[in-house]
Amino acid sequence: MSALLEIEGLSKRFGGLQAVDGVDLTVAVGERRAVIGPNGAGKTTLFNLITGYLRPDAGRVRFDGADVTGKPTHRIAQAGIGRAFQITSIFPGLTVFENVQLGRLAQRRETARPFGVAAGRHAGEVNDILDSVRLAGLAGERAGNLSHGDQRALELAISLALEPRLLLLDEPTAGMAPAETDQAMRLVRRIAEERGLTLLFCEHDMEVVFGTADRVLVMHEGKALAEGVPDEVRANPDVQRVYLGEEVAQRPTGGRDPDGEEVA
Amino acid sequence: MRRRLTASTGWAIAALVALLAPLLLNERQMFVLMSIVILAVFATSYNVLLGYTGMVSFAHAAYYGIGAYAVTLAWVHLGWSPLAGFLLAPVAAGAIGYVTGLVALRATRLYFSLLTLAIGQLLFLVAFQWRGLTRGDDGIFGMQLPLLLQPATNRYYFLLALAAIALAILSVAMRSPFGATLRAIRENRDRAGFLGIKVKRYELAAFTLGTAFAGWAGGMYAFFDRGSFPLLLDWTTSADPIFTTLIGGLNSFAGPVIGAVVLGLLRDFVTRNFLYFNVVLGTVLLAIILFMPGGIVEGVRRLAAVGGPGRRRTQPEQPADREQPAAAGTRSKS
Repeated sequence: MSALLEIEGLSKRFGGLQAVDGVDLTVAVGERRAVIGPNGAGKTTLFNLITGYLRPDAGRVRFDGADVTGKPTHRIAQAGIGRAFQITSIFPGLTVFENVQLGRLAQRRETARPFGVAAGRHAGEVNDILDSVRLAGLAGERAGNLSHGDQRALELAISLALEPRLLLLDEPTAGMAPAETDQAMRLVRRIAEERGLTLLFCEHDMEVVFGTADRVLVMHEGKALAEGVPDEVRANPDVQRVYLGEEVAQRPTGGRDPDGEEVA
Repeated sequence: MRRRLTASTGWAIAALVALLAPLLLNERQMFVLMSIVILAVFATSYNVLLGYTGMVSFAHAAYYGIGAYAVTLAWVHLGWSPLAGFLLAPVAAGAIGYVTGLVALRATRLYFSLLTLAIGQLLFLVAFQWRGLTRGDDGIFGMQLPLLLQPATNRYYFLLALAAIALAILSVAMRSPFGATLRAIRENRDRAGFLGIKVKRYELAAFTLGTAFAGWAGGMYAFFDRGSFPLLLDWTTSADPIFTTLIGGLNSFAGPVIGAVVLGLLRDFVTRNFLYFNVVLGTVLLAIILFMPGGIVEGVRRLAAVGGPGRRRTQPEQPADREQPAAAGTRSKS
């Protein structure tokens, strides 16, 4: 399999905090790759660097062979890297249908069209996506009225509407109860299969990723600590040290934001 | 579907009333009607910014004034007919809107609003102090209209036609994918950016479109008053489209038009019957905004939902929380 995403020596510093420190990562086409690590390990910063939300201090990001390092977010989105957010990020005042439709309009580069009726445009594709995230029944509902879980599904649906080849999911199960978590990950797996997506997702809960990820990258304090198939990673003594209990005792700044806001 | 039908019926009735009104009205009332028609365009152009894109501008009157001056200055200095001058109004306002928008949109939210205030007052001062060009606060009056437009009824139909054209263009633009994109920017700027939408460009496009049609409305005003004066550009004049939009409702295309009718009739009634008409007017406006937070359109929708059980199943609890996020959204995300 060929590489879809290649990251070399990616680094980002916020003031005194080296949030991401020389991370290498290669994700193959069709792979489901997890990035795990405790809070503050640099996962979200890594995602922000890949999607162009932050500019790296050093290192390269290549997508499908093309260098996208430091490109603006919209370029990277159009290149085929989609992202669903850790904090639910939808258009609350629009309907569920309109939320997804907007992704569709953006993907087709029709957002600047000042004529033609937007209502009902691309209905087939939009409903198809809503079907696959199980929101078809709520198409006419105001997105802000949805439950938290449904909003996350909608968030995913908006990202899917851009027809990404690589989908980045930032803690897709954050704030969910165990039963919901299971369901959410099943949904992610099914969608990735149906749409032939390559997945890159991060989690701080190790257990969540094992059923889904082909390979796992473990991050700790900005560095890549370990990399491999889930069983290898689970057996790795360094990973166990970081994950099993010591995390709280060793890290008085345990609540540090992955974006390093506390330092800045 | 049902809403689409109600809306087109509403527009048809409004058009019929507007066309037949001159049969029943005297000349003074014709002028009230003309001012309503102008305000409807002015406020709708403003709603492109406020309601659709979520931008609060305090400079909108400046472009309205520029539109009026485009007609009168072309007449005074170049000897153009007002009809030819009118073509200049949206072009001049839109061009100046584009350049000043470029400056104001360097900031977002509150700082954007403050920049527009400064820009608007700067444009006002130009009109006020550049006597050689604008005759300063004397204004320019007594513009000669084409013979056909001198009777009030004819002038009214002329302005009504101009308003219909403006509303039709804006309605098409707001229903288009471009309009949908503006609403998405209003709802969540960052998310729109992540979808690959170049937010600033769209905001600038919306600002230019809005200011061009403010100029269009200003050009209409020059026909109405046969002149122009600096106060048209002043930020206090910007309150007009803001109030109109809030009264009618900023979440629908018809809102500002309905607001213009209500505010126009109310203002006429109050100024003729009360000495301290501004106090009365202010109180009434306050009451409308307090008790109908989403404007008249939203209030009517709510009444319809309460009055007709089962007509819309998801509706009953929606109206209560509906206007709050929308209103809060436009305030915080501008």
